[in-house]
Amino acid sequence: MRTDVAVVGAGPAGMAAALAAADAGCQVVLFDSAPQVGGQIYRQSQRPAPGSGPGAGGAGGARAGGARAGGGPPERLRRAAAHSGITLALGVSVWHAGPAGSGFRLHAVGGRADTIDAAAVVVATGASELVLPFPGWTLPGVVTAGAAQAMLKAQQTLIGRRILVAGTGPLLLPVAAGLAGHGARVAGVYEAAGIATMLSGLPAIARHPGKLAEAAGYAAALARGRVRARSGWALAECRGRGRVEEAVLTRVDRDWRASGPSRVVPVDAVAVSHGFVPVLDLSRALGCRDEQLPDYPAATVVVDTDQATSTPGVFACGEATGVGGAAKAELEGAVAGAAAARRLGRLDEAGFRARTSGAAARIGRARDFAALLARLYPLADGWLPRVRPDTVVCRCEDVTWEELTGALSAGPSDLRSIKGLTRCGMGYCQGRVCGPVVQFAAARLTGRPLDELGDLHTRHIMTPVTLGHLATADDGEPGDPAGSEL
Amino acid sequence: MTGSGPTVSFRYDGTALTAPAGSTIAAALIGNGILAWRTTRRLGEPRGLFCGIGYCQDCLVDVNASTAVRACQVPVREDDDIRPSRSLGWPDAD
Repeated sequence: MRTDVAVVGAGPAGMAAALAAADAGCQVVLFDSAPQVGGQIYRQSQRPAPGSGPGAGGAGGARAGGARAGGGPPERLRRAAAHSGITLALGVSVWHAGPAGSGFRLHAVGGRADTIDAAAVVVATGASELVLPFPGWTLPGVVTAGAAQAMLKAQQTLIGRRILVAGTGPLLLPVAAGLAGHGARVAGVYEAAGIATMLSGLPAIARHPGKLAEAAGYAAALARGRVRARSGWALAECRGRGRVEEAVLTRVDRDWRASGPSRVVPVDAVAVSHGFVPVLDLSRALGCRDEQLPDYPAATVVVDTDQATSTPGVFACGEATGVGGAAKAELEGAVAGAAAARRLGRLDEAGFRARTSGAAARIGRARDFAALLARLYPLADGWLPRVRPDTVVCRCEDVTWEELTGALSAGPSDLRSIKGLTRCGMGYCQGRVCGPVVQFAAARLTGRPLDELGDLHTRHIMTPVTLGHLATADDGEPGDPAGSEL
Repeated sequence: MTGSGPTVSFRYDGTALTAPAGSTIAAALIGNGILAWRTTRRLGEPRGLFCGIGYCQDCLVDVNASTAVRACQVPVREDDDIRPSRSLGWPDAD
């Protein structure tokens, strides 16, 4: 299969990019591993009919009540689903990509074509969630805040009946508000960032009245559900036999170190999140340069003002270039799609400028807000002393904190050595979950900068595939160096 | 479990269960009060849903002839025979 532009990721960035390129006359294939467009933020219900009424299920989940969650993307983006220039490849995972001829070849599973040749690629792969470990974080019932939200929006299923929301970041309030609005008893929202840090951001937030209104909406929803939100509290531990039964919370200072009383809250589910990490598998496979963030265990794809990466013909937008939410993603996507069309000669310079001037004028403001969020929700070190020797760090390979710190004391030069010594990042998820944790912990425990340690992100296979896929992949590259790492 | 709309019937570990049509396996199990369906290889810990969007691979489960299927991504189908995964195999490309 052959196309002008391959857009990978159908969240707001990818949808906007596909529309911009297709509106300029390009043939576009828009990929997403999910069965619907919208990405994580505009996740749609996958149920054919709303399941209303009070749940009478087992002890775990319950049917969500109230108005239906998961309304999907806004109308202006939904146009992508019906555009004659856009072929949707949904439920299709791109697992490898590389240069081929004057363009690129993408390998995919789940769709009709195994390979897709494209003259230009737009990387809109989004971000995955960061969860810093604590004792009990592997207990069933402890899930990411994103998982709680995805279950609600796509499945109208509550992950529990008495749910605690904890961690740090702008996702906690909307998730808690969503759960409370659909019938869950939310056993509190515990934000680790202190009130002083939050207040210091107020003058800057005030310059974004839309965001203030959004926050006020969540606060109102929580008030209606009689949910109390506290800041300066950290989730220290989850306990239970075979599943989470109670959560231990502790008052913390600005460094997240215990500074006051603890409390024990009975729960049957916990939604936890400490931030987001850009997904860079595809950009790295395509040779795009990225940059380690100075104080956060993540890297971002380097782009110029037209969203072009260091690889000619590859453009990046959305969370991959820096976590900043849907508004930034959509604006960057519109520029990236138009830039791809210009590269293919479908837009001249004047046409490109005319189509992107509106977005270009608003991107700066959206990025300012992203930078503000990063300042409001920094990662602190106070979680480190709460981790116990037997706390699992790598969930796939069952590698414990004791094993990680033991390997660190041997003085490894970088994260690849730690991987070899401990098996962290060698399992099913290939370091997607533990990679940022191991990088951050290693930096803090050894006093070395994050960029010097490197990361566990260098993967050749982006999604699990069978050996048969590797054997039949026809791009002239040997399959086994990648296969051996799986 | 109550609720309007069509349902599908499936088995989990030999027990007959139902879930709303369109449910992922993870939602179907959680809706029936089942939170864990995998045992880790080394420490023998119970696991179920974690990331919910398909990247963590914690929720692997065995379905019919397939082993290590991501429960949060794959819809439950009529007559599915779902079994706890001991994660002895690598994930099928689902």
